Amino acid sequence: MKGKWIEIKVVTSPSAIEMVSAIFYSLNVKGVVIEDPNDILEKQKTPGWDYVDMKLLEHGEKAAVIKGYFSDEDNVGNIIKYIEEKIDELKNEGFDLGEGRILVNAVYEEDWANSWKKYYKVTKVGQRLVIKPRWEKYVEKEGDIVIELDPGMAFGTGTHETTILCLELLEKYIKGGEVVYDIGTGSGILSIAAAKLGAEKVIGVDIDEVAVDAARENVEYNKVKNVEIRHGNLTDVLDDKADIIVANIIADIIIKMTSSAKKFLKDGGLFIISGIIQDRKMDVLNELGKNNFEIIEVKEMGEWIGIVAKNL
Amino acid sequence: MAKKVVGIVKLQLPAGKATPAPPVGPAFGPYGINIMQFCKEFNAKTEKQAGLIIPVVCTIYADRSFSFVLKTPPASVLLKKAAGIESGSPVPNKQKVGKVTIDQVREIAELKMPDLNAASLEAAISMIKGTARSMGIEVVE
Repeated sequence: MKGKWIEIKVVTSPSAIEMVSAIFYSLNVKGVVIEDPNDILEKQKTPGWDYVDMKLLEHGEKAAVIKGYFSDEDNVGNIIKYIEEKIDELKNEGFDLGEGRILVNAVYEEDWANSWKKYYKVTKVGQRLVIKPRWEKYVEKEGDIVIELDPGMAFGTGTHETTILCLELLEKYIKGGEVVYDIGTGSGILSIAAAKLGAEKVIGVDIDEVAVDAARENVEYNKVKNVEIRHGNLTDVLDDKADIIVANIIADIIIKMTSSAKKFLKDGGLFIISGIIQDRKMDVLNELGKNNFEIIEVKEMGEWIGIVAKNL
Repeated sequence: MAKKVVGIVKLQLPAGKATPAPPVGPAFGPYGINIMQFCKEFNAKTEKQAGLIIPVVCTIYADRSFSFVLKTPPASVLLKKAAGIESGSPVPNKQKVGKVTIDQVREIAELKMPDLNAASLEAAISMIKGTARSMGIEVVE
């Protein structure tokens, strides 16, 4: 069944967390979840720190829990047998594995795909932009530019500092009539904003199909006719030059794509970038310098920065 | 002002590559935090360590805001590095895939000491030895 996963949980002792995690890694999991009572006890001891409820520990103060996730198509019986054997071996060698109990559950993508939505509310950004979750109500005021969004499992809800930085910069630099490319479009939020702010033509690009589907749906829902969403890499799916390229990804990818972005920017065109954490700021600025960009603006919000650079 | 903590979630994830798929989705789903936002922040803060698995302890507050701290890589990852191997043995009890010296084990135990909650260095060394054992890595004198 699509979206179904098998959760295998081992209830063990805190001293066996590393050992049990290693067993999961030998089964090629993408990561593990750990409930460690020491994390909570430590938090409680910190003076003046936040109030922590001990009820958070489902299996008691002495038990740690390690969880790994497997595809519905994996042979779960064999996996459990393998984990049991490993636990027994370690116990026989004298290691404290606590209960060493294995629990199995089915979990469904829909359970986590939607649970955050009830905390996602209307957000105002910049002077005029209003990001409205599709299921929320909002009475539009004069001058508002409303973007209706269901990000699904794609990046870009409009509430993160990096998205806000990009939205504010787009609002400031789009004067009307521009061609805009949005690289790593995610939910399509920046493409839709660019179109609603007056860009003549917008192309949003993403390598993630989940994002492409979400973005296309959001574009359609917002009835912006001049936005096109393409699936693939920047260099493979674009052929013309833009007035503005906006990219809200992460520092490493922005550094890697700076030279190719330049090829797709008109002379004097703007490269608006974010997703950059403070301590990578200089790396990104250096790369822009190397590629003959002039830094127009560096905007900070919390630990994140947004940059506007001009193609010389 | 103190904020009420509704959850503390510890995860081990590939640096720079977190996605809403398990383990991230099911770990955070019940708390209602914005999963994509967590992924984005985790990836931005760990991209430099690409290729490693990084543990992260995330504190979730009643208003669904969260903060997180990154920890030292898991012992299994450090052991593989020390033994110069790509992955552990599929049959650790029968087939040994590599060796580490007791000095290397001690070094890993010292590095991980702040995150292991071990009562002593000896206890930490024992935890690392057990991890080596579960991966089919032999510890030699």
